[in-house]
Amino acid sequence: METSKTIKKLATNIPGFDHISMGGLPAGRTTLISGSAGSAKTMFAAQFIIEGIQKGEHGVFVTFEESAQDIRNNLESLNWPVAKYEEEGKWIFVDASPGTTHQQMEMGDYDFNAIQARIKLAAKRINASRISLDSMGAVFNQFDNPNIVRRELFSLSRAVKSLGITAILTTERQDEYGAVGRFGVEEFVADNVIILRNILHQEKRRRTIEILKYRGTNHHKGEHPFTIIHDKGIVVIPLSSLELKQKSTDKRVTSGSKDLDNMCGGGFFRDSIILASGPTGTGKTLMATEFLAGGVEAGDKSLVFAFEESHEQLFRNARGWGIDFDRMEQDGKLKVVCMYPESAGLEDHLLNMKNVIEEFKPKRIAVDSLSALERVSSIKGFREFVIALTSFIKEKQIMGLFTATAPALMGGASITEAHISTITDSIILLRYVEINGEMRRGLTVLKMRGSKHEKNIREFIIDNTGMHLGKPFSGMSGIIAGNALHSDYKDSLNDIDEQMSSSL
Amino acid sequence: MDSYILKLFISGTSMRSRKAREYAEKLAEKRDDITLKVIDVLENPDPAEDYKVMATPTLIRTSPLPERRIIGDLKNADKVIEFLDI
Repeated sequence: METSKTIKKLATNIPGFDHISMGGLPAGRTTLISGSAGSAKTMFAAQFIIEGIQKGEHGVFVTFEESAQDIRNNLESLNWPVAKYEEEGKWIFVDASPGTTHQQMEMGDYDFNAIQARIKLAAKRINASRISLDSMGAVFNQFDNPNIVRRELFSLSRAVKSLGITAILTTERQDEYGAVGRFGVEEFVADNVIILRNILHQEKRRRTIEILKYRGTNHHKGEHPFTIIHDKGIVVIPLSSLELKQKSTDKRVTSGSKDLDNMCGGGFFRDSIILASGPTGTGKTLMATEFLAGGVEAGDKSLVFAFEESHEQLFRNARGWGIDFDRMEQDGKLKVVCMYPESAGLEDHLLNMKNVIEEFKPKRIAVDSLSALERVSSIKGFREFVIALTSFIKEKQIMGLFTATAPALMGGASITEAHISTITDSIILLRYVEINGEMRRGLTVLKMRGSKHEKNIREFIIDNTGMHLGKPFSGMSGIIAGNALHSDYKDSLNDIDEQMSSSL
Repeated sequence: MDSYILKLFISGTSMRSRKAREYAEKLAEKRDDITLKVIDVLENPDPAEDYKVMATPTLIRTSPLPERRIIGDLKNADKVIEFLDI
């Protein structure tokens, strides 16, 4: 609810941040950014200034801990041209880092009027609209008397406030889920507080940003994951604030297999997410391959992210099924991206995939397999990843096929299924069926949102022309659960049972 | 005879600044070998930036090198001379 008293926000242009903050930082006000060591506070503070300069807003960077030269070098290594901006009068450093060339002693009372005067001068000199001070806590290391420092930092933050410029003050904290700040946040005029976390959970690092409070204005609550990308810096991934506003379509397209299309009431919906789940070797990659090939033949640009096979393996397998991936790739209709799941954190995989999708603009995407990614992340991180990816592709009206590996050979649900079955529109299960000493395969369409579909379990046949669906397994039960039994056999067992119990 | 150059950074006419100024000026008067320059950061902030001064009062012996600094209202005269080695 907007009132005339709602505080305006300044768009930071830090990717994802303006979304979770509903507009940016409170304009003309001071925001405290608190984080543990290595939580990217300095980067956030610097990026705030950089993004401003790219919008024509000049900024002051006051550094209390690292020297201006060190910061300049670090930022230049991210491809941010700080030295150029300094020459152009857009960025100015106030270097209040500990001096290395002199010995210092304290005697009596003192104040921080000198640094205040320097900051005011710098802001005026380049007509600054943004200012970052990094980090307040480091000042305690430069002086012997913490009481004086505390008093003077408070006075300094009031002075910064009075400049009327949008300001960031960074400060340290020790516990990821403990007190907001190490030195008592009250000192720093904490109207607006943001927390950066770098959490170690089950051997994985997870970076999150949380807007703890904004006085007088709204923001999304809770932690949001972010990652750091070369050239871009901090990129926030706004998950909890994703809205379910996808449009839906009635248009159907081919799954790549006519037999499967028939089982699905005519094909998949254009904007659906399909999960194909089954034990290893049941034909998921084949399904994905036909999905891609069928797409290309129907005029869809197709993209696959492969986390379990190499480019060569995929193409060789495809050839064995009569599908010419080479030609499709050369024609620019097919793109294949192969990666080790361990090669990056899930947030980085997500951003990389989004970039590839935005550049290649496919109409359909396959991910083979999601389970490979699930293995290298926490449960929470994985679920967030799936939600973020599926909502991204749904928003672009791209059809997605995800494969998942069920752990047991004979059936049972995979963990992936348990997590994402509610997000997917269609679920196809693949299973082994043991019949008369032979291992055969079965496929069934478990769910197909918004459409009639066959309830049968059909035999899934693989030959050198790809996948085919044969007759339904009749007279059998327990296939999907992994306990396939002939109904006849079951009846005979029941008979024997009855005979035995009646003879007792 | 060795000569020393001292720079005193103060801010306006606060008690701290006045005390430090009084003391430094008295010292410079007494000693021929000391040249004192007083800088009020409120009027002239640029030198504060050049010398990376954060607090006032700050008394710096800029020559001879290496530099030595004392921060505070310079309560203890003897200690000043001793630490600045002047």
